[in-house]
Parts: sequence; structure tokens; C-alpha cells
Amino acid sequence: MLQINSVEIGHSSALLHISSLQLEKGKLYGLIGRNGIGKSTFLQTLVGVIPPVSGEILVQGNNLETLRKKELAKNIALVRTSFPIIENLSVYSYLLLGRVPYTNIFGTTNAQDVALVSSVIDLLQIAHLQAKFTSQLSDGEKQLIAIAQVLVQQTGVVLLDEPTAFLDYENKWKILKIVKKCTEENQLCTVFSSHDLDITLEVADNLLLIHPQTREIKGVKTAEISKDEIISFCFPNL
Amino acid sequence: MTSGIIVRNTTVLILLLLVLSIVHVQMGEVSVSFTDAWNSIFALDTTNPTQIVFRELRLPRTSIALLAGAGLSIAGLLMQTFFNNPLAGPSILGISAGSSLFVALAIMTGFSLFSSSFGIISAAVFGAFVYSLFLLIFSRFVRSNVSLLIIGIMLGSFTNAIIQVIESMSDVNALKAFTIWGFGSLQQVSFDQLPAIFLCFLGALGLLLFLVKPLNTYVLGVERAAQLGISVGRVKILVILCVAIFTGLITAYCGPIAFIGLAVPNMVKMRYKTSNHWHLISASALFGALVLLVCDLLLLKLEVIIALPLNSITSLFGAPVVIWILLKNRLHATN
Repeated sequence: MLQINSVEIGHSSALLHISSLQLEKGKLYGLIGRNGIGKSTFLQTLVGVIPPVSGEILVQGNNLETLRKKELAKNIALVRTSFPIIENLSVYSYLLLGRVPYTNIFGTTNAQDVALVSSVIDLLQIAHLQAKFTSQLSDGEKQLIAIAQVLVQQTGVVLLDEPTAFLDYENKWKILKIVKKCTEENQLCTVFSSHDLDITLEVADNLLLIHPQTREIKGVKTAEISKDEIISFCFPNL
Repeated sequence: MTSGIIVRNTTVLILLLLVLSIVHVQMGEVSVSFTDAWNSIFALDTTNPTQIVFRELRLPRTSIALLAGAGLSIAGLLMQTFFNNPLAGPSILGISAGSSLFVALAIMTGFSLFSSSFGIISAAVFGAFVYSLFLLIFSRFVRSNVSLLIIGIMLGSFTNAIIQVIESMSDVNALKAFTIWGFGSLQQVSFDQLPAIFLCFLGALGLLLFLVKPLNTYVLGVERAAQLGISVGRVKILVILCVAIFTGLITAYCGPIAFIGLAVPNMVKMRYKTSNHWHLISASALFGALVLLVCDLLLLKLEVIIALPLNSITSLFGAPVVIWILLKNRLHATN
């Protein structure tokens, strides 16, 4: 799904580097690292907002930087931590905007688009929210519909930047269980960053750990590493 | 808002516009019959004073009121969505001032090429374009909405100061022409100029068709819009072009008209409660045309008592709206 070969990531100088990493479909990846180390920058690089300093990132065999924007939008999507403040937009219209990469130049949606939105609404059980305005939702509901919009976008790769940041304990579990379910059912390649170590270890199939000194991103299977090892790798000063 | 109510609202707006346009066109000493009105356009009888009045005064004034109200409101809406700022608008962000500056240069430098009506229009559109570019460049460096607003206001007053310098150096006749133009007026358009104005207006509307989808996506934030495959660079150019054509065209013919571009889209958003720009653009255009028509009707009614410049009427209407918006946002923030 995603192939990363000796890539350096950063805004102008290299912040992080990855010698080799392969992310597969149907797998949920948890990204763990210190505050400010570059988790968001890494995710923004994968979605094409920030170009990599060097190296190449392949999305289903195509180079990320040469892929056309519209094609990229059909392959990879990112949900940011904070939900934008939008006035007068219903949840239903918000979800339908996930079809933007597929609609014509005037943005006309067809019956298939509508059917897809309905199926995502059923999948996430958010029918009761669809008539509300996005500004009326709680933080948990906002995270839920942001994920729903990305599912409507039908990308193979889904990136979530701290999806549990503003949520209470119950909603954290709820969101990540939904993410896991969608990853398995829709065969997505999903990466999420989180500071909730316990929940992350519980749901993620694989972990992407960022070493604070070498600034290298390393991939491991969750089953093959203990919590203590993760802490001593990512947070050695503790 | 459901589509049924939108259809109903739109119908009411169109009917009101029709009725008020007829009232507006009939304002004055002589009343014009339908036959005279028709003939004045298609079979002008130059010995018939009613037809001349209709052709040269009434029709141009009503037409430009409709076009200017619609155009300024659309320009304001575009800027508000593009800058993600409800207080953006062509007059408040200094774009009208930029237009004025170039018109001042054109009128007062005294070159006959520039002071022809073609020269004034191209100067006004060019000025609007240059100032939109300025704003765009500034907006790259300031993240906050308030900063951009302050920059726009500063740009406007700086420009007005330059205009005053030019005024103080120019001769009396040019100064008078420019001052009258600056009051804002719907009386300066002649019948012969209408086709060109309509064409430019339609051209900008044509560009607008390609902006609806991007603008609908822009409400999610520019970054998410880009992620959804919207070409941000192309949208920027199209928005600037549209705003420059609408603002420049109208500023050239009517002077800098304040507040319409700011107030109308906000009122439409409050009433329609939608982010769909198909609805927002058409409603802003219709409602903007209606508001300017009403402002000009007031002006015509009051003319017997007091001769007010158009800008004072639009400001009387617009300023309270802005205060209302600020108060409303403040209330939202504290809740």
C-alpha cells in the first residue's frame, strides 16, 4: 500500500528519517513518539501537504510527488486533530463533501455518492447526527464524522492525527474500535498517532516508534514488543 | 434550510426585484408607458422626450443598481469564503480604495487616453486586481483573521492618503470630477455603455461557475480542500479575477460603494443557514441587487428634501449590520 524508501521528513531541514518502511492494507498502525518530534509532520508528508526533504514515498507503486492531486485524494486522506469551525454546514452535507475528488467540475453528486454516504452513516451508526450542524456536535461526535468523511472519500490509506486527543476515556475506546473495525472490513491501511499507550497497544497491529535521539521511525509488530520496551525506546528519560 | 424554503425565498426575492425595478424605473417627473420603454430601446424616436429620458437616465440607472448590488455582494461572499473571514469585503479590505487610486491617477494625470471611459474601467479593474494580489501576499504571512482585517483597513487608509496627495496636486476640474465620482452614484452610466457592462458581468459570472465546487470545499479549510484534490493555486487566481472584475467594473462606473459587499452575504448566510455556494451566490446576488435598489429608491425619495450621496445611505444601512455581526459572534464566543 505505502512504501517508504530512505526518506527524510521535515519542513526544510530533515526532522525525521526512515530507512525503509512498508505499510500494508488491512493493518492498523499506531504512531508513538514525543511531543513535537514530528508525528504531525510525518502524517502531513504522507498526505502530500509537505514534500519530503529527500527519498521517495510510493502510494500503490506510484510516486507521491508525481501523482496528480486528484488521484492522490482518491488514495490517501488525513484527519487532523482539531475539527474546523464551520458555520451552517449540516453533517450530511459535510459527509457528502468527501466525494469531492470524484465529482465533476461543478461538484454534482449522483445516486451512488448518496448511497455511499448512507452506507457510511449506517456503518458508524450516526444517523441521528446527519441533520445537525457540525458546530452543534461534541468533540467525540466531531471526530466520528471526520472519520466518516474520510470513509466516504474511499481512500486506501487513512491517516489520523491524534484522533483521541480531546476525548474522554469511553470515546477514546469507541473511536479506536471503530477505526479498527473499518480497517479490517474495508481492508484499509490506517495510521494513527496517539499518546494513549495502553489503548494503542490494545488495538494497533503494528507500531511505528520514533526514537528521540536518532529520530528514526522504526516499525514493529505489537505482539513482539512489551510496553516497557516501548517506553524505554520512545521516552528514555522517564 | 430545506430546498423548498430556498425555492420559496428565491421566488419572493425575484418578485420583489421585479416590482421594485418597475417602481425604480418610474421614479421621477414623467411616467413611462411600456410602449415608450420598449421603443426607446429598439426603435428610438429622438423627438419623444419620454423615450430619451427612459433610455438615457432611467434604464441605465436601474440596470446599474441591480448589477452593482449583485456584483459587490458576490465579490464580498467570495472574499469571505476565500479568506475564511466573515468581515472580508471589497470596501473593507481596501480593494475599492485600490480601484479608486488607479481611477484618480487616470482622471487626474490628464492623459485623454486614460480619462476615456475605457481607460477608467481598465484602471479600476487593474487597481482592484493589484490590491487583491497585495492582500493575497499579506495573507500568506498573517495567520489570524483580525490581522488581515487590520492590514486591509491600513491599506485602505494609506491609499486614501495617497489619493488626497494626488488631489491636492491636480487642477480644479479634475478634482471636482473625481470628488463627485467618489461619492458613489448610479447616474454616471449611459445607455451605450450598458452592453459592455453586461458582458463583463456575464464573463465574471461565467468564471464563478468554476468556483462553486472549490468554495463549497473551502469551508472545510484550505488544507483539507487541497487534500480533497482542489487545485488551490487555480482557485486563488479565479477568486482574484472575479473579485477584481466585479469590484473594478462597479467602482469605475459608480464610485467606491461601501458596505454592500460586507453586509449582504452575512445577512444571506444568517437567513439561509447553508454553506452551499450555489444557494449563497444566487441569494447574495438577488438580495444585493434588492438592497442597492432600495438604497437608491430612498435616495430618489429624499432628493426633494436633501441630496445625499449613495455612500451615506449604504453606510447607514451597512454599519449597524457590521456591529450586529460582531455582537452576535461575541455572544457565540461567550456561550
